[in-house]
Amino acid sequence: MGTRARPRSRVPLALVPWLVYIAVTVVAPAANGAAGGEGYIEHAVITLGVSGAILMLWLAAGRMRPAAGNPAATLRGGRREPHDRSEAASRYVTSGARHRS
Amino acid sequence: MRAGCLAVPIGDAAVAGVALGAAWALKAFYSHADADALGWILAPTVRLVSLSTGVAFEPEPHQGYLCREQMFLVAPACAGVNFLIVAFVSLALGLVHVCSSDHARVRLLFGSAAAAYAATVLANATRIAFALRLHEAGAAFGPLTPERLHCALGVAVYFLFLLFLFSVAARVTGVRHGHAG
Repeated sequence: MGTRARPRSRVPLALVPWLVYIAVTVVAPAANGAAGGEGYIEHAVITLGVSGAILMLWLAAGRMRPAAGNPAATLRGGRREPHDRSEAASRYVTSGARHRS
Repeated sequence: MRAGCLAVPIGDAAVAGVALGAAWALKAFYSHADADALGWILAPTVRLVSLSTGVAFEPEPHQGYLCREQMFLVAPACAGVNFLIVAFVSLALGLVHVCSSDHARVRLLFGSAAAAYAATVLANATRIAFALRLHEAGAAFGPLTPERLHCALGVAVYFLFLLFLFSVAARVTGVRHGHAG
């Protein structure tokens, strides 16, 4: 697949599936009027609690096991160091450009 | 600050629109569908559960698949369509930023749909297999009634599968950013 570079975000990418999961399983039913229904609060609490706990563990595991150049580690919130010369050079050029502006 | 820094490329916005539109259409279909209409996802799931657990299910017209031995019904609500929507939208929205061409974006959409379907069947079969065991054991722990355990188990299985799916897809597409540092 053709790929491109974008500015890096400090937000863990693993938040994307969690946010979509909560939107579909908790927010959407509430928006459709299920919030007042029997068992909705219980369902929402269990969904938020269990998925939130798993997400925290996933992100914590990613931070404890930083793997250079490992894309999956970045998903788990792990820190990734520059893995090749071109990337290190691009960082240098970027910081240089900042000074020039 | 440059004005273009936060701009979303039109191709990415189109992928987001298609993904959200497909999700909305699938959700609308699912809200009215009976077990017969959901055979494309229920049938392979139940077959996988039968293969992995050895438990036999019989199709019940319009109701789903029934295990008479344990009086356990795999109903339309157990089809995993919400998970299918979540997996597809997560992959499409979460990985679109690595696509550099329209061709890559189209491949992402079709790849996300196929991966989401396969993951849904696998995740749902795993969830139902565990739920069968819980049902058989009648497990309950204090405030965790069998119904609450069933719900918590479902969330745990689905969400773990979702994170693994997303992680594998990110490896395949070569995501290099989105980290905390």
